[in-house]
Amino acid sequence: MVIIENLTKRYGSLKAVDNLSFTAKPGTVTGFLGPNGAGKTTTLRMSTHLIRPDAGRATFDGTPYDKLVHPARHVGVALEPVVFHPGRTAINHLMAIAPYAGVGVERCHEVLGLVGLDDAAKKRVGKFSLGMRGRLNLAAAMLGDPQTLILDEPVNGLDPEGIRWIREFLRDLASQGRTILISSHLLSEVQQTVDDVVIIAHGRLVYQGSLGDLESSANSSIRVETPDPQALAALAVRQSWTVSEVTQVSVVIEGPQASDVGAAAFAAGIPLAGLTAQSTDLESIFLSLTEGQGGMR
Amino acid sequence: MIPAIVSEYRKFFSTRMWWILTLCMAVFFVAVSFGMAWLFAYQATHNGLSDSMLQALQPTVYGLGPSMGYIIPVIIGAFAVTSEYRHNTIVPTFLAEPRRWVVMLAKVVAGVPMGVAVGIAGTLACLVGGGLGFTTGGVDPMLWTSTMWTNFALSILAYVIWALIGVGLGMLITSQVGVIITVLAFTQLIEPLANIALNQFAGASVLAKFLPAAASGSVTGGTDIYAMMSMTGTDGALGVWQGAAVLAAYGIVFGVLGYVLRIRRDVS
Ligand SMILES: Nc1ncnc2c1ncn2[C@@H]1O[C@H](COP(=O)(O)OP(=O)(O)O)[C@@H](O)[C@H]1O
Ligand SMILES: [Mg+2]
Repeated sequence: MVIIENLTKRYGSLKAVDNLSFTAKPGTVTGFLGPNGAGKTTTLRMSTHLIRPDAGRATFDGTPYDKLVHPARHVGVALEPVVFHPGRTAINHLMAIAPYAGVGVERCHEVLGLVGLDDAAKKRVGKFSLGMRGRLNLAAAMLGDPQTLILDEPVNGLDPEGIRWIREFLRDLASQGRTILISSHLLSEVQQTVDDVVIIAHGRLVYQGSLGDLESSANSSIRVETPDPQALAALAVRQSWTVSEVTQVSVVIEGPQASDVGAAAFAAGIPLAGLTAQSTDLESIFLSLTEGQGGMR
Repeated sequence: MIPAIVSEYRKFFSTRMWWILTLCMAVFFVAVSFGMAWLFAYQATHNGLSDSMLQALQPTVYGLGPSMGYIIPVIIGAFAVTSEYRHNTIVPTFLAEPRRWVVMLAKVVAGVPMGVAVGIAGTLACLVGGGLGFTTGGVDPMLWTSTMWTNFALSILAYVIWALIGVGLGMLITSQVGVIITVLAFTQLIEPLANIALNQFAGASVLAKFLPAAASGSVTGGTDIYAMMSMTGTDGALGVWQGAAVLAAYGIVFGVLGYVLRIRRDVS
């Protein structure tokens, strides 16, 4: 369980993170979302004590990061940007962290295998592609077999195959009861990976909940085609539905289910030519949440 | 603490930088100590340099490493910190050990075997170069004296302390280029000038022995090379352990300042 409480960080007059609180639960993948510059990396850096918060704190199963004895055995962290010493081989990079994780060379090879880098163990990291660096970063985070995993933009720069691979990898880890927190500036890239979402904009929380709730929270609208749009619009108003558009041949109504609209029109004797439910796609919900000033909670 | 030390040790030896530097240093010292020894031998055989004077000069040649080439262990020690900031590997390091003082202390502890390794290479280089120089110049190199092993050990001690000063400087400056420029400017320009200047004034000359190279010279027992070049000599040089303490104090001051001013800062 990761609990973020009232984290705040100011850079001059800019509030990079503004009184942010949320939780990531065990057994789930939590997507930490927001456009570039929203404050995701700053939040994760404060949580792991790389930068000092102006206020607030983060705990991992109840313990702040700097109070964890051997954090690598509890919390695996892979932050943006990915950093390695270019002259060091992949295996030597892991061996440098291994003492902190309390593991030996076998485990280093094991995690390299886990991320599909077995063949690159003795290669200098300077020669790695972006995707390989991402995998090595993940391997390093996995070294101590941590119960909690924090990944900053893990799908950034990955090809579709890599995205699919990491999705299955993370789903599998979550199903083992681990707490997984991943950030992304694109909801669509992690939509099929996450269970819960935390959305921030300008350093502030704008939504926290399950992905399913987010989808159903979207106002679904119904486009009704009818020869008598004026009568239908009047009917909708009587039913206290919102009419968002009236044309010569159709009315767009927000609020009710399509079946309710059909039944009401039938009862009122208004002929209908067609009924189409138009659900807003997740990415536009995400955009409207992060672009608007208003929060949902 | 143990994991941090092992990690630092592995980080150091998994890059190529340290042995390239050590090798360059060894080659340089063989050449310089050879040249100097040969010159002193020539003075003794042709220009009437007295035997007692020659014997006083010989430890200077063998102890040349720490008093003249301390830049190498400083750079290698500083590298343990600066390399992490340059490649930003300080981030994974602090993620693995958020108690930053533990990491820095581990760098200091791991700096000891590094200083010993570099010290053995540097000291051997001076013994080989100097020994060959005196022999080919036609004088007794006086290598197999009773004090030789003591001098050898003290020379390595000086290297170790210089490596630790390097760790402290690295913490304070965090930029490798910055450390190199600072050390070069100080050792090649400021310190020799300061040495000469301080020795011009009767009251201030007591301070000259506290300059790093002079303190280093008193550890190795050889007369300090810069003091000799200023022709006045240091004003009652420090004892071996006093010299070591003065050097260590430099390292501690740099390290503590560095920790407070740089290491505790946000990393991103
Ligand atoms: N060290 C810093 N100094 C000044 N501003 C910063 C610093 N780090 C981040 N910021 C600013 O804080 C905001 C949040 O940045 P960041 O946390 O990196 O966002 P995200 O990871 O969501 O893209 C941005 O506007 C960024 O420019
Ligand atoms: Mg970011």
